[in-house]
Amino acid sequence: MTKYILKRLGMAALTLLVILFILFLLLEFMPGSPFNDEKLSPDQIANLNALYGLDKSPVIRFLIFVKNVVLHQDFGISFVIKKNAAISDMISSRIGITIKIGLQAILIGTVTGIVLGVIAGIKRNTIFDTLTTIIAVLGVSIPSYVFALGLSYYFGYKMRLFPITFDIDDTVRSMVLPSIALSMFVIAQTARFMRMELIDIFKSDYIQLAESKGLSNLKVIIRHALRNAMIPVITVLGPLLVGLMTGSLVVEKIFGIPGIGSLLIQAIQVNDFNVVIAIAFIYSFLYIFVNLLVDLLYGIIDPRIRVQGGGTNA
Amino acid sequence: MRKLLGLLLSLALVFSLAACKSDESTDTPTGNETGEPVEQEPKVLRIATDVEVPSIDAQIATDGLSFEIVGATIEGLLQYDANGKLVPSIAKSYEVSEDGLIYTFYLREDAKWDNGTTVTAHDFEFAWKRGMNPDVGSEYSWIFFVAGVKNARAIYDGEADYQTLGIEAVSDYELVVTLDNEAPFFVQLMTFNTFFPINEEFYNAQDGQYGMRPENVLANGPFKITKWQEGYGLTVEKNETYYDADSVQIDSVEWRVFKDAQTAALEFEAGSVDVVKLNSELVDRYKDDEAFTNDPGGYVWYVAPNYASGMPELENLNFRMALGMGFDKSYIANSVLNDGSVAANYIVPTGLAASPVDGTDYREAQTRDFLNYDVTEAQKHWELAKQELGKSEIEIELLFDDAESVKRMAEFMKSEWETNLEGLTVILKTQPKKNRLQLMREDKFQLGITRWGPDYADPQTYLELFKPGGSSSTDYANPVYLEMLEKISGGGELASSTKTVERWDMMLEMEQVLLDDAGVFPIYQSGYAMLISPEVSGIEVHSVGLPHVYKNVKIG
Repeated sequence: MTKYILKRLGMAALTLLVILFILFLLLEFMPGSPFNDEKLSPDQIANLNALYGLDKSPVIRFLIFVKNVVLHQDFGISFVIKKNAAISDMISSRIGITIKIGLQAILIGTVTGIVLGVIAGIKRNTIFDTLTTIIAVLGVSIPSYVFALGLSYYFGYKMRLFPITFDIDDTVRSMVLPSIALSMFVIAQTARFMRMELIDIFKSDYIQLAESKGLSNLKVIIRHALRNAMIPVITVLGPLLVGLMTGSLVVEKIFGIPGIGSLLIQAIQVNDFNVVIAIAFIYSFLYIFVNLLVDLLYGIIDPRIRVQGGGTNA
Repeated sequence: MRKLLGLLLSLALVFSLAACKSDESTDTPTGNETGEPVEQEPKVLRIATDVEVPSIDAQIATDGLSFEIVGATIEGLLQYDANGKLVPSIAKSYEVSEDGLIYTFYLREDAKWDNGTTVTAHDFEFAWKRGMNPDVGSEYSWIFFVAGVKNARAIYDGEADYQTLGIEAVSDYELVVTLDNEAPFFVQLMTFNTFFPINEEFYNAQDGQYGMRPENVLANGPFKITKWQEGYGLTVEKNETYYDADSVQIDSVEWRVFKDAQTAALEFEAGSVDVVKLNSELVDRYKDDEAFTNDPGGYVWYVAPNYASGMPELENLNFRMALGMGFDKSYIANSVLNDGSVAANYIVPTGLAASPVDGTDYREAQTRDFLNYDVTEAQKHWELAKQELGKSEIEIELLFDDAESVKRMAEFMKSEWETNLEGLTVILKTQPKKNRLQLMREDKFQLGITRWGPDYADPQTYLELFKPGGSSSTDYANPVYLEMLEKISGGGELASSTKTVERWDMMLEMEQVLLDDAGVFPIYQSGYAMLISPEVSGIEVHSVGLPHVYKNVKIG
């Protein structure tokens, strides 16, 4: 198991490096520089590029970046968004809120999704099942910014239950609407998977055996069906995280949340190279880390996978 | 299952808490129904902004929002009053030597930084030299040689040390600035951020963190920065050490970042912000609202022909006249943009500069318009152009930004030109702004839609764009025009304080030469369409330097 984890960790580090290198190259191919103002002459742009080391080749810049991150946890400085500010400071003051909202969205999303999925799976072909399917279809097909705007308008502006946009003096209530907007996608996906899995499991021999032994319905569902149905649900959590990341970019913009999602959008728009790279690095890191965690969790829930995983390159 | 239930319960708790809290807030009495004295609510001006604050450092800031915030907290030697007149600020008076090359500023002695130290001439000397220090990387360092300050050009070109800049604090309250050449608008530039002071002792104590957090800057102006929550907003509060603190009537100004225009407008309707800038979709919704205001902005948008492209058609006057007159600018301003912009039959904008003789605006002093929309005239020029060029069909490429409003404008111009000028094909080329600028700098375009905002209140800020290597990227090289430009520019024969009238007249003539030659095709002058709460008055709007000044705001 330890060998397996170490191997996976090594792979993760390598993947991160490759992603970073590709990012450096991509940014290099993007025309323009962080110094885009029409007031700047070509001489000035050249001077500024030299001052900030942007005149070096992307490979050299990549090596310097990796060295600074590994040795000093230093992501460089911002050129545009907050001029000359250390990016590690910019990110550390913003990442908390993004993670908090993301975790709340996962929590609300998986719990609600599982409950809905279980109800739909048990009460198949009833009105509950239809309702769950409708929610699932809506959750997948309606973009999160429409949800976000709708929630903000009805629950924030019309009913005044929650702040319309993020309010730094009232963070608890401010995070409710963004978390719900972000969780819709998770609810939809989890409910769908849960329902499908339960339906399959109810048809299986071991459930029929348990039922024929005279176990109560509730016991059958909790002890036997749920645990087995959870496995596929956990596997989709990894990909769901990607949905959450992209969703967070939009939701943060609409609710005016000072997180790293809205920072990334702005950084891309204004060519603030170092900020783009730092946040992309963090997102990649989170993604790889969560996938690793999911794989390990998977093994804990289903020991058969661990045995296989330990012996192969999976 | 028990855990799951627990989670559901806690979620339910969060919701019910939310409901309770909102009940409480609606129950709070706001009026004075019992007749007892109530403590007065602080007067706060709340402004919605669509961008984050890039800098609170006077020499580093480059954008309008940063200028506004720096301008609310730091004062320079001079400032503009509500009517756009130059008035004393930290300098109570100044003298100019006879040759116009030495300015002596006499500073007021009661100006203090908010840590209690006095604002002195040394603070200006330190800040200006910092602005020219190559290690600081001020993007506005070029403004020192536009101002004509001695050695600025040489320092910029790396031929002199930044300590040799022509500024010297003779005593705490006497500042002497020496110029290389006379710059007629030198004093106006003293209102600009880059020329603002910094206390050297305080700066050095910040250990490289100057301007990074509210506690890393000092204020000598009406407000001081108290909070800066990155990505969320910035707050300034009334500065009690300000020499004119008695005239400041509000307690604080808050800028709150809303990157989405829709939710910003919702917040305005809910009464949680007082000022919000509108985009064109929102203008339609609010233009009959009593809170709607519209002020002229400083930006002039125009089509830049690239004379370095080698395209023979662009050398033909009739071809250029046909293009310049062949599209409906009013339609662009009023229908395509609909954000307070006005059609521009000129290149020097309204409200920029006043005549040295009687103070009339440049636009009024210029007795006529140029390149007005006129289909018949445009078609006459078009026919002549086709004859002279010996072509019946001409194809030209139009480069522009991918911003929604610019795209719609370009599509409209294409349809106007192709309908009005038979045989013309316009190929649209859209690029993100940064790429568009890069392509224009590299001369890889034929026609480009671009804009310019003024750096100082003098027509030269626009007129000097149109020369080889100038910032318009046109590489316009009309020898008559260039000769005039040299005369009015710093060091030129009219750039003297004794020749301001002749210089003014020549600048009027230059616009005539440029636009009678259809050197560029002006489109419109931008406007600021905003919603301002009817409770708020006294926001000053300027087309140069600080876009908005909040010092004299009143609430209620």
